[in-house]
Amino acid sequence: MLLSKTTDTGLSMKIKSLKVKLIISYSIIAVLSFGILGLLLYRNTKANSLRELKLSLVNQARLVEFQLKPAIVGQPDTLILEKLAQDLSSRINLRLTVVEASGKVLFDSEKTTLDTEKMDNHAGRAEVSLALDGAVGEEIRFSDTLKIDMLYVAVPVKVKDNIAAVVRLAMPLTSIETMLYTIRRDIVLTVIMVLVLMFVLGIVFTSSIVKPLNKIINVSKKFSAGDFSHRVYYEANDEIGELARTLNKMAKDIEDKIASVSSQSQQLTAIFNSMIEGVIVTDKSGVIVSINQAVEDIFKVSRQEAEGKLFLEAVRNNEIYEVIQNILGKGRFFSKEITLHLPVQRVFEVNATPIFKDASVNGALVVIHDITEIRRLETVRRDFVANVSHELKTPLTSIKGFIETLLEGALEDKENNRNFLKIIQSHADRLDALVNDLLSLSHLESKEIRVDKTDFDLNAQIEEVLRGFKSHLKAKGIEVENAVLKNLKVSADKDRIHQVLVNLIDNAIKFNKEKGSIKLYAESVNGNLKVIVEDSGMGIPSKDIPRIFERFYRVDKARSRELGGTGLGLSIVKHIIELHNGAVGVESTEGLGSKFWFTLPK
Amino acid sequence: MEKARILVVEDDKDINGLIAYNLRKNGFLVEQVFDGDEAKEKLDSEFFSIVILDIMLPGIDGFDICRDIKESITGHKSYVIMVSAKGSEQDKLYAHILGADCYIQKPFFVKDLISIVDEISVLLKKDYTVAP
Repeated sequence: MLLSKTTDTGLSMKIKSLKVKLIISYSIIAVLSFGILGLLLYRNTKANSLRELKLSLVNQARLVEFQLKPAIVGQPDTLILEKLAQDLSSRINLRLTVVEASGKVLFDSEKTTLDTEKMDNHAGRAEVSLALDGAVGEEIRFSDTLKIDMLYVAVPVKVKDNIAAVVRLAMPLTSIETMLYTIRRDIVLTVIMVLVLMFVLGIVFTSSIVKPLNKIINVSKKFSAGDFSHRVYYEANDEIGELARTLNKMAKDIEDKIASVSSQSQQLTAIFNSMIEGVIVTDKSGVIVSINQAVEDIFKVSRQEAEGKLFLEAVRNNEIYEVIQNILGKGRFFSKEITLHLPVQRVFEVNATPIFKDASVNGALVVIHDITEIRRLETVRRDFVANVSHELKTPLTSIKGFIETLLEGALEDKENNRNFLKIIQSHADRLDALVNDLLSLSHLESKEIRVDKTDFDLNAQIEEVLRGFKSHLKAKGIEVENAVLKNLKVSADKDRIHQVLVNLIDNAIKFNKEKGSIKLYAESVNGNLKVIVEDSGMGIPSKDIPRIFERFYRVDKARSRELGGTGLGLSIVKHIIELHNGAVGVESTEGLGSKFWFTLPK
Repeated sequence: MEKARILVVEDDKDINGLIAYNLRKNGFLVEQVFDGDEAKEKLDSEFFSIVILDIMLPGIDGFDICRDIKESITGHKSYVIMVSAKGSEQDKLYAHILGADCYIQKPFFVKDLISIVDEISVLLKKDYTVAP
């Protein structure tokens, strides 16, 4: 603030001085030119008028000399001379003095005869002295008598070659002085007027230059403050106008550039923040320059807190800190897998790369990729593969082992040989069922599967499934009640719903007690159709319920295998119902029975 | 000549029966159990020269039973033959560390199992001559 204020006054001071400078220089030029002109004019006029005056005075003196000559030469008669001289003097209205060759004043038109006699000897007066030498004498002198500048002209009165007397005419210079005074006054007045005019015009004229300059300065100040939305409104076709146009164009270009840069940076920010991967950027000393939304979420830090701090101050993760140190130290790409334990266990792949500036490491870019789900899926797949191989190997062990046993002599063992063959058969059946279920599952999970919806009668479908289990039901003495409304139409993939019903009813029979019961019914829940298969079997311990739909999950492994289960039936049910956008579930009381249900959207 | 007593610990009824049938046919005294807890109970009260042990069992698993046998402070220790469908090197190494004497992967040849049991029987007889 302080700094800008100083520049402010500095600028306006310069503007003022520019104005003053312009006015002063105009004034000096004007005063000098008018002054010099006036002075020359004055001097010329003065010299000319004086010369004219002298010439006329000399001529008049010559005429007076001619008139007075007879009276002076011959018998000088003072009275006649006086009379004549008086007459001439009054005619030409000039002071007339007649001086003898000796310097004695014979006549002076301004003095009486008595006074004349008391007058000084005039031979020493410059003009008289010149005239006595035979020339025309002239001089300007301050007259003590009249207290005024006087022009004196003296001509000799010649008799043959002798000078008898001198006639002198004197004239006061008042008229010339008056004229010169007028000229001087006019010159001074003119100069003063010019000065005033100069000042007024100067102010007007300099304003016309300074005003647009001020505009430009004000707008430039806005520019330097970073606001490029202003324009200089000055349309004159001069240099300042050109400057204004250039400035406007520059501002527009900068504004456009800023707009494009800021839109680019907004895009980048949007990308940066919408990235699923966490991104951390640090400078070369390991101070966080920026982090994105994902990092905020992963490490529960806010951007405001983190940015500008050393990494470890903001994010307490030593492993990533070491990665950053490594990058800043070695300047090579680095990748590492880290596990976070809080707040939930998550696995991250950390990729870090140095940011170079002029071939030296200037910072680090760390990208954190959450691979928890990938790792989990890998684990699920690995577990599944291990489970499948175990499930396949167990029946194979029996089949191989009993065949070997039979071949090694048990064929002759009448007590056991049939039993062994039956065991082999049952395990072969189990393998067959397992392979079929695995194929179903793999097909259901393949994503290419299409749900082929048709409208069909659910009651009839259940009856068909039950017919298939007739012998099983009879063997265990189980009562079945199909309470689903007759002609209840559902829209679903008929073959797959058939499989769902088969798997659920198969379980309801397998895990039921002797002479137990099964009830099938349907109800409408939240606009969905809910189908329930209720049995009076052994039930499921509550700890197993959350995992009952997982692949190969069995409550009682040995019993399940004994009953020919693959461990995949419920998993297949879940997949099929989810393909129909439905849900599956179970409610069970251990020892009393289970209620398996599934829903289908109507 | 006294034949060795063998305990078969295997949850799969048919595989358990298969092993028991073949061992009996070869003259061994065999007892069968079908889960971990049952096996533990049996081993706490009786001594078996050889224990044939599945790993994945309901209740206590095969590894724990093996450790219990090998860490027992009572005189003779049973020979342990692990039989499992699990075949990873990790499982085999773990069984070895716990002191299992042999590891057979399912599915197996019956005659291989019998010959291993026979060999152990020979070792057992030598032990009997040394033992007081």
